[in-house]
Amino acid sequence: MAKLYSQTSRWECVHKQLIPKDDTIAFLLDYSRSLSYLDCSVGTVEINLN
Amino acid sequence: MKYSMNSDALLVSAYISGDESALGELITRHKDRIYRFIYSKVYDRDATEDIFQDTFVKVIQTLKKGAYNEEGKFLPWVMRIAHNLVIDFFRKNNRMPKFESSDDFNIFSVLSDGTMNAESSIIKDQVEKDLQRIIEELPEDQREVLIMRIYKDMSFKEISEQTGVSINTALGRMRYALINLRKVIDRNQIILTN
Repeated sequence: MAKLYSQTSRWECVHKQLIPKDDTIAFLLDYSRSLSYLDCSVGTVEINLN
Repeated sequence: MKYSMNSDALLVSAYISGDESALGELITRHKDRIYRFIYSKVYDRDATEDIFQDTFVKVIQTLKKGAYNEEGKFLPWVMRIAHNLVIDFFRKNNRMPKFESSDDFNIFSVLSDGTMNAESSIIKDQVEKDLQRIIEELPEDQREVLIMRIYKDMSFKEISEQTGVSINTALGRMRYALINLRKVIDRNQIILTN
């Protein structure tokens, strides 16, 4: 019990869980890879390759 | 490429030049701080996840468009985007906490614990004693109605029944009692606030 109280504060426990999901990070990296912008005569065109 | 020792500015430059892995390093480096910042505002995991994602979608779009010009200030820039999206979130949900704008805003005026400290308790006792003393000076009929109404919480109908006078008379006595109390308070400059 002493270990529980002294080594793991509630604040640390809450903070450890406050991280984005792996799926969200994976989505962002995939989105970045798929996204590109093309400059053409009518302006900038967004291209998203899925 | 190993990026862990590089500055944010170098990573941003590498990413703009087409190195996708630089984005991974930027996200890894700042994800916890940005996520906690958002959560500290919205206190909702799902909303935090959405806002976090939207923040980096905007970051990616801006960097890829070549519209980023905040040299050396990547994290504050991302935090600002996150902050704006948090505001949008509150606007959409119409649940922005509202306080009167004031330079000397004191959080304890909003968050009181409802209990009285020793000083407040002494002041309250003193105020009650002063009030009792003033009430003693009222004419008998007025004092009787005031005590029934304020201290015994009786209705004017009950007061009229108990004192044997009409409701209008009871109301009139209460009115004169309050007028006389104010006169005594003003004349003696008594402060009856806690």
